[in-house]
Amino acid sequence: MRDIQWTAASVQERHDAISRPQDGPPPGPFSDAPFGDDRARWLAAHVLPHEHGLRAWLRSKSFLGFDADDVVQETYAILAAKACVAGIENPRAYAFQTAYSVVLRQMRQSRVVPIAAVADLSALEAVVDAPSPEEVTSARQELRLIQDAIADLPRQTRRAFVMRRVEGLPQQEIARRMRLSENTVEKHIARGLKLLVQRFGRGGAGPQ
Amino acid sequence: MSVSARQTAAAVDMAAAAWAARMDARALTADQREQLDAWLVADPRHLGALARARALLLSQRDAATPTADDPPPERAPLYSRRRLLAAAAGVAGLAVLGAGMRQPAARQAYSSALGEVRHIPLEDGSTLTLNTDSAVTVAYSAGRRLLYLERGEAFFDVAAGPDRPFVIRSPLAQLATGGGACCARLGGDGAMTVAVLSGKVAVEGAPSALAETLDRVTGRDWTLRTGTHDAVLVTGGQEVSVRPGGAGHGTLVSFEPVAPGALDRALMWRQGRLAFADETLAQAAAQFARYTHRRIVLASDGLARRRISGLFDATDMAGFARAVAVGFSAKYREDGDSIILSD
Repeated sequence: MRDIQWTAASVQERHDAISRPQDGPPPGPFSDAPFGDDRARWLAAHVLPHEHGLRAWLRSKSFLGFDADDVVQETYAILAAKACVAGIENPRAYAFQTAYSVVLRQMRQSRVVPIAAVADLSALEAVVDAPSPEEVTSARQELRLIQDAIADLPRQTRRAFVMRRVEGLPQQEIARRMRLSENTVEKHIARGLKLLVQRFGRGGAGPQ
Repeated sequence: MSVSARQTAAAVDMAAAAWAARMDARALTADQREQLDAWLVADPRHLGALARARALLLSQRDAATPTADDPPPERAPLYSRRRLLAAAAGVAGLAVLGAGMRQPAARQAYSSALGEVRHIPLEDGSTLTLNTDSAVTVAYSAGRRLLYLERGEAFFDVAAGPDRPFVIRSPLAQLATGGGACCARLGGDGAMTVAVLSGKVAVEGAPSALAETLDRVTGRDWTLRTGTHDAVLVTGGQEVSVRPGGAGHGTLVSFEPVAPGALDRALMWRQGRLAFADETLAQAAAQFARYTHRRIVLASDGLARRRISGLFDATDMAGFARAVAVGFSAKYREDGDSIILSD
């Protein structure tokens, strides 16, 4: 049996065959599985703690030409999107494997794949078992830097953010206690969160 | 990849943080949901950035919280163990995105028993025929007619519906057509075969997990909309096979025309028949074995290589074996579930 590669040449024909609708169906309300609090907490408990290590591993391979930030975002998308995460016994290994598959797909699309790259990438086993002592130390260092950065936020922003994130108060309750409008509280939360999403997993320093 | 068309990861992160804060504040309005929908569909990274931002907001013990063996920073004792305990004791229910759940497409699972052939009319006028020991799940929605081939073999007679693609998914590949007739089989060796009788069928790799999710989350036709999958177009009288390989996807291994008449013969199973044209006894015995627990044992290689033509009842293995015994002057013997043919 001869091997034939999938070919992109017939994609246009394919479109003609299916004759796709001009507009898709009207967007329905979201199903909340990928955005449910349960999934967010699972990611927080099982994936966030390994993001630092994952980024370090991706950075060490970045000579392959991919953008580590893009890969991390796509990795989270896939993990958020999974129908069920209950069966994942080793979330660290799973997250690394997922990121690996994202990188491989990007390299396949780029069509120019250094032969050594695949072998080099696939040496996953060494890094996925458990965080190395260096990784733990540098993750701790990162926490300090982030704590300092949060402490440096304007007073109102810091208060609102800490009430939400550490004390777990809903935004409406924070607005009541701080005698602020809910919109203002939302802006404070967004500001604190922007700081966190930028620095978490990237060593704790601000964007270059 | 153009810089202007693609946001930097940092810009995506900023937008995600704003959305996460908004979703955390209150249920989104219909307008906001539509905006979020559009934003999510624009780039697969957006979903990931949003999930990560929500995780960072809802995680109460990590980045910004000192661990027990970490001395708290001297400058600003923001967090105390007491506060942490209070937080752990009870967290109020949080606003979740959107009050209503999307109405999931109604799913209907169909299966056939060993030896059974089932004809199933579908709501759009298409018909589904299941061969022995097969299973298909039908999940039609407004925008497309989606089916999953879970096991075995099925024939799809697809009513024309150019605005509502008929999409058949298997773990190896996805088939899409606007109308026609085709047969798909997941073989015991893990490979998949697709034969097209009429119409045009696009065969492509199975959609990525991410594309499937975007479908589910946004209620839109992401997997068909992207059109970036490599695909081959198969028309009437052609057959392709796909074997497992790649990252959860199939690899196309052959793409060839089928001799006139061969396809009709191969599809005789829809009438409960098996048709052979100059095929070996071994091949014929394997076909019969799909319909029963019983087995034909061919005692010699010479017998296994004998060629046979004819039309037989698919569920009558013994009748077939007796006919062979008479035709080739072979000896017929039964032993439990085995039918033994010897010279």
